[in-house]
Amino acid sequence: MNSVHDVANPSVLAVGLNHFYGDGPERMHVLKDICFEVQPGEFVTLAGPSGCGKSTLLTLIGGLKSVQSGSLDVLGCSLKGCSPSLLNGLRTKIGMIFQSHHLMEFLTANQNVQVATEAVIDRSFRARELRCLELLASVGLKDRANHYPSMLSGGQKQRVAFARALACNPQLIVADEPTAALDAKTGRDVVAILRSIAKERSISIVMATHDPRVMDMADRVIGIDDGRLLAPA
Amino acid sequence: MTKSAFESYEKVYWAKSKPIGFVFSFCSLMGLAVGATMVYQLLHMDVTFHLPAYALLMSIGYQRQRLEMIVFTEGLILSCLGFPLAWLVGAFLCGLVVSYTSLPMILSPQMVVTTFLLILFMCSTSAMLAMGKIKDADPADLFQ
Ligand SMILES: Nc1ncnc2c1ncn2[C@@H]1O[C@H](COP(=O)(O)OP(=O)(O)OP(=O)(O)O)[C@@H](O)[C@H]1O
Ligand SMILES: [Mg+2]
Repeated sequence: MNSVHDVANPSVLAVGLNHFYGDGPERMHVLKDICFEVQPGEFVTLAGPSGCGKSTLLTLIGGLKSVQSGSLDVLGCSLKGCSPSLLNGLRTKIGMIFQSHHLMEFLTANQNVQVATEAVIDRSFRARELRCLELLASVGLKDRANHYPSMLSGGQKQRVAFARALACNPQLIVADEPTAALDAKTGRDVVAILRSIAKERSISIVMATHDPRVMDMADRVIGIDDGRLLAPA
Repeated sequence: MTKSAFESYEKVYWAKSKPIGFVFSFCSLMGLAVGATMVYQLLHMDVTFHLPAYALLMSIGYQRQRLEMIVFTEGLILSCLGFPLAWLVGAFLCGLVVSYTSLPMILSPQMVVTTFLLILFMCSTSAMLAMGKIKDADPADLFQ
């Protein structure tokens, strides 16, 4: 466990969280009475079979879907009935990493990272550019800053996506199967980089994965099956 | 009848009483409508093509209004890029008509400015309609 844990103010606190898709007889209960918390600087993985609700839980934590029932506090903000502008503000404090890198093909690695700083950091263009170069260096891609995504390997693209997620100085990172498209070694390498940067800056990580090769790198693994959290073993 | 009274009488006669004036105005309106539809189609397709990019920007915390401004700016850029070309072609055609028919057709600065303003209006209206497509960008879709 990390020494910077602030038990009074967890980064994520879910109590009795439920989520449904659809209406009427088609209504599907996807998340069932979820209760858990993530401390600042803690790295947690959500592990479970396909369709168990991992991505749904991440979209709720990321403020991308509205909370229907139960309560969910993220970085001190209660998301139940939260206004769109508050949600927008919250997203600038959360770094998001997806299964696919979602880099813009017409922008260089550095420009892709800069896009994320523009929404939040109130600095000159040059200062932002330097900061993005720093971030690319921290994920080992300093010499690839001016490359377009088409000139990068899968692991390198995912590392650019990591740099982009870190660009807004996030306090929390949500990652949805970031290693799914990578081979075992590259997958472990990129997660190791993410982990070390997050520990350095005391950033919490919630990562969904069913990749056993990266699960042991987390501080804690939360099992989830059919929308319910499993009791720790 | 003074010379200027005769001039304005002639202008009104050709513009209002003869079908040629009506055809001219009608064609201009048609041009605007067709232009607006084409610009709308173009921007709508562009937004559709870039929906994942818009969704990503939303997930980063970009406000919807800011994304709408991108589409609006695209519309303005289109009008500013298209206008000089249209002006050149218009001036060339005008010259052609004058040399063949000796009709005194003049592309006055006022006409040029009015046309530019109309194009600006046309492109911004189309852009405002195309902006609606942004609501289909859902950052939750980026999670699989
Ligand atoms: N937009 C949606 N509308 C209706 N049902 C959905 C929607 N998104 C997900 N579901 C359903 O909700 C359940 C949980 O989906 P979710 O994507 O959260 O699973 P997951 O654990 O991320 O799966 P995987 O490991 O395959 O990515 C699934 O049964 C899925 O079919
Ligand atoms: Mg998923």
